[in-house]
Amino acid sequence: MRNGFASVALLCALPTGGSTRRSLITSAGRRAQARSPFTPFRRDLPRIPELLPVRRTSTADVYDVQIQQGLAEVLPGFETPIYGYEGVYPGPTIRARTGRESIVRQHNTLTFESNVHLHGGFVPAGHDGHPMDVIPAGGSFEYHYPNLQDAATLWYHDHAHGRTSRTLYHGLMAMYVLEDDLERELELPTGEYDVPLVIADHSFNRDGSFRYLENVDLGFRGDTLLVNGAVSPRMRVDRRKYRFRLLNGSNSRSYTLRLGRGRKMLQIAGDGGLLTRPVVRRRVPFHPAERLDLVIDFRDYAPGTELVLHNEDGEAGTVAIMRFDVGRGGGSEDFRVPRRMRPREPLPEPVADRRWELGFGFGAWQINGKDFDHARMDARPSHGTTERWTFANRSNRVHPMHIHGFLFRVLWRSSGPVHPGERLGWKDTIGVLPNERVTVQAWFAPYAGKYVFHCHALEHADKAMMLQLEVMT
Amino acid sequence: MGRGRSGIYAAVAAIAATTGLGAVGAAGADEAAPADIYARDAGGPCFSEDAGATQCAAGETADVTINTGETVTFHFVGSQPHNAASDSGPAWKAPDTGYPTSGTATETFNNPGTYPFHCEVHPQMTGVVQVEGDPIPTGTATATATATATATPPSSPPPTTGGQTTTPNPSGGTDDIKPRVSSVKSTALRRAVRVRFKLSEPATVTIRVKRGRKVLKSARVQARAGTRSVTLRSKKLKKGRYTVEIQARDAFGNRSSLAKKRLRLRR
Repeated sequence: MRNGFASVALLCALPTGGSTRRSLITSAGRRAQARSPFTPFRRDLPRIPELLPVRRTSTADVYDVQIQQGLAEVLPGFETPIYGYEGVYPGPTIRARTGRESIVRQHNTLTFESNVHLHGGFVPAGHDGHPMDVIPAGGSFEYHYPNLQDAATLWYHDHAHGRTSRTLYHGLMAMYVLEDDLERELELPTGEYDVPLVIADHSFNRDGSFRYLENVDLGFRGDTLLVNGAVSPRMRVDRRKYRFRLLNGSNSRSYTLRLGRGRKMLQIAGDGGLLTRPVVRRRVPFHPAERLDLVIDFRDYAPGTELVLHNEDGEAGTVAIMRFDVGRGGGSEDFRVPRRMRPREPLPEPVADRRWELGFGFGAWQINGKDFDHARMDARPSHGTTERWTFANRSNRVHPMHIHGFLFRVLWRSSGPVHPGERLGWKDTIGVLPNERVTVQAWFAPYAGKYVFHCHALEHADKAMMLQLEVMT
Repeated sequence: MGRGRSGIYAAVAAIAATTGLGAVGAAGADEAAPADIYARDAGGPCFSEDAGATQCAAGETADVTINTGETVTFHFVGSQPHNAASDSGPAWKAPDTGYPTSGTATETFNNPGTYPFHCEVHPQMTGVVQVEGDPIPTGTATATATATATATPPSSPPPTTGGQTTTPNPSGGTDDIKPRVSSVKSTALRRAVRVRFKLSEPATVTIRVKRGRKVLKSARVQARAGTRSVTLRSKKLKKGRYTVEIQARDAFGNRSSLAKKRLRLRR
């Protein structure tokens, strides 16, 4: 098991009143009692709505979003209170194009502060959602996203300091799909064959609301998998190629994806956009906040096949992610995934080496023995340079390390060779396994200013596993 | 709740305890008195009432009874980081921040009741503090967790560095107003349909283009109030007669009625 010997999660999904922790019944026992809402493959995969701009100018699209409460129908027949962008979970997808600015006016109608971080985007420091740049309750802020980067699957979510483990759990996250001309030339699947999938683990109370149990050591573990806000749904697919944009929206659960019994999936993109060439994957490790673009060709399966996407690291309710029901017809398709996708740009030589020790120090999770301190800069790279950063994990928990505002290339892992799916593209989040060391080459361009980098296991990030960096011009 | 509050209330409580003037409600087997709880690792980890033990027994928890105004002292005798945090009700933590591996932390309870607690790092470590007697007024704020909704300008920092702000759970909301979709106009294009509609409030709108009962193309958009326009393109939309259906759902689950429009593609 990846998370050390004590990682078997026993979470009480439906507690009785009073002292819940005194009589621990396993989640499997609870779910057997209330079988029907949790039975997998009962619901069709919900389609995440796309956000319509309120105005389109010649250079920009303007969106208006309210950060508010809402009621989602997650379990059939129950209403789950959530926090959401426009009150929906998952939040509405913003489809943007490279070269066209997106202006998103966020209105915070919650009772506490919030802000928005575009995860994986090249954004100027003032619009990046630094944990200290918050929108107070009742306030608004206009975020400008220049979209001057390669096409990628990004996502935007709350980043108020100390709150993210709860606000993201209750639904304050959404996808942001950036498209460019190269993807259009490659004729990758689009429209209804380009499907965003937000995977997250949750637990529920008896009334259908989300149940959150804080666990600072391991991070939150839910006992039910939701995809696009439905419990292990099914999706009817045509016999042709689909492009799935997967996002691990869990607080801190890592997955290992496997299709059927090791069927072929083609990874075409990672966090930072297209890889240089597609990579065949049969078993994919998937850490919180990472994105994976997988092309699955359903022509390989006979009509009527039911293909389950499994999580190999799961137990009981967290094994089956979703099911693909292959339909009739189809079978002839001209499109072939091109062998050469994005050329690999040369990087300047690294000018510095930095080492970050990840561990549990006195009182909280720490990086290099330090907590998050907004008044202290922990790294001052120069603008336009690259640096080699090594993350050394001194604990027995997985830490998905994420740098705001910049992308990096994975150079070396102490646990073995770097898989082509990680090596051939850019990433912004890397899962550092227990007792592992990972070296990445980060490129501090194009914007200068104050950013943060942190572990994206949200319980760790809120308990101080975050440092600041300032890119100096 | 006051925590380790010195002054007259602690003094009164101390006197009451030693002279037995505190209320005696023999609910449990212990006599009510200021209590010591040990956070221990060996065999556990667990919370234990036993000062001298070296190992946790299987399933060991702490269950102590004190009088109102008295103090529970948590001793951190293990090597792993621990704390004690309330399960529910008024929030309290001993210590307020951090997870010590040595030393002690105290918590004073001024109101009667049952206070189950757990270690935030190891939630399987549990215990209960039973408080008996009459409530002691403290004159300071009770321990209800308040969210720090600051009205500060964006660049000034809220409290940080290990301090966990308390975020309330969402409570739902009481919106019973259904969204209304009106002025639906559909325009036939080549292999596409453009639908224009007017929305009364921000809502998720599902638009379907159907031929008979078969859905040929559908779209789901999140739109704000006002007049919006969506174009649905598909190679399947050849010449013929179609029905366009629109329905809106707002953030609280209220659905509009289904609006239908018939349309004919001539090209």
